[in-house]
Amino acid sequence: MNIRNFTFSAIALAMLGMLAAPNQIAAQPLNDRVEVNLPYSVTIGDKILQPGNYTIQQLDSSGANSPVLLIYGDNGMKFETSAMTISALENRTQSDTRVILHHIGNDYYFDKIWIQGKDYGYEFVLPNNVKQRENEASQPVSVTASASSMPAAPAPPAAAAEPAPAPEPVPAPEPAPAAVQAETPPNTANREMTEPAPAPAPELTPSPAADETPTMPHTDAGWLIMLLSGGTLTGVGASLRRKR
Amino acid sequence: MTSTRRQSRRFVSYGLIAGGLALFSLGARDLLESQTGQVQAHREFDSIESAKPSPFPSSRRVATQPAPQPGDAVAKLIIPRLDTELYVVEGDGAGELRRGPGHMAGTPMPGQDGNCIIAGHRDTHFRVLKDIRKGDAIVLQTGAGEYTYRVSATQVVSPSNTASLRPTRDAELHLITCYPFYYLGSAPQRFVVRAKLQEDSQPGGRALPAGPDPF
Repeated sequence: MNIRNFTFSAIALAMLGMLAAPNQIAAQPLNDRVEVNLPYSVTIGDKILQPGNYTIQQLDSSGANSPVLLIYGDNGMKFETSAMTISALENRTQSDTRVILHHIGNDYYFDKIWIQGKDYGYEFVLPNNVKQRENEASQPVSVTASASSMPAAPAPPAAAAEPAPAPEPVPAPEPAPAAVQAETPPNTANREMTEPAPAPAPELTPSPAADETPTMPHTDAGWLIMLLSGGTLTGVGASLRRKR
Repeated sequence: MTSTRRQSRRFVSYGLIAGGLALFSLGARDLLESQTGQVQAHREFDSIESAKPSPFPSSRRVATQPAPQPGDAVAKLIIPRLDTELYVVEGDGAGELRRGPGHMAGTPMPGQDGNCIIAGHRDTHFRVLKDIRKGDAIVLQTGAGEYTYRVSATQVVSPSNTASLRPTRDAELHLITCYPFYYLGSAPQRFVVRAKLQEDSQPGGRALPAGPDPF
């Protein structure tokens, strides 16, 4: 076999290898995780989160970015509740991680969570009855928080402390490792909720159908590489056939 | 020995030629279908337009439009600054995207509240998106009217970042294609165009909404 034939064969093998290779190497998804110190009692769905440290973690949904957030208390050991969110996009990446609260009357509700270094965040949906009250007096309150991304794979076997309206069995995470501690503002005036007003929030309850996050469509036609590969293979085959 | 080598070489050469021709045909089919699919979708869309009820219907009973089936032409996408007109088909499967940009099933139709998602191939119909800029107008014509969106952001994301697919409260449009636009092989990223419906965008009002007959 001369050099010409060897070159043709090498090109053909390279083309075949390229075609046989998987289209995408699946990237390991990272789930967002936020540590926050809530200075106030915050109502979410039918649950009231007392002031303190909480871990807010994106639900692991097998590679897709899940809109469901899981909230843990007690240093990440106790599952508190879950919430369905909608995406909030920004044109620029966030300089810091922030948890924005609605302040409506005497109550606080989650509004948005922005993640440092990301151009997206999570927006909570207010229950309808709260939306009506929002017109009365609402003032956003920012709470400093810190975020980390953790691999989606680990699923601690510990059971949830209490039943929750999560769409899947919700495992409690391991205690937050490596210390991503929230930088709490020096606000210690914890307001007590005299009237909890547990608003049933159907929007906040994650439904199984809504949890099925679609995947990005495959938008490569690939006609060019098929034409090139086909032409090359045909050329190699023809040259081999002509060779005596 | 020589004869055996010759035979095996002939066998390999025939295999290479057959495989090469098959690949070439597939590539040519995709390229051809991206053109013919648009012509066909154009015809379908025009037939929908001509079948629209009159603004002053003579009959009191007006048939409502059925839900589009995968592959049906559902909208005409116009980007005036880029002098682009594309016909959007329903669905984002391989077959649909060969014909034209595909409206992702289950997402709101153009003009409706929520996140309307349209995907297209970077190497055929949506290659024009490489030149799109913030502030560009994107016009979508459907059987229900004409809607103008304004590009608010473009971004390059990894395929695992599906934030742009999440439902939104307001009427938004996301155009999705692969990135980089010029890349041999499977492009590793996605290019997302985010646009918001202009408040002054009005439906055409020629088609009556689906629902029970009020008469």
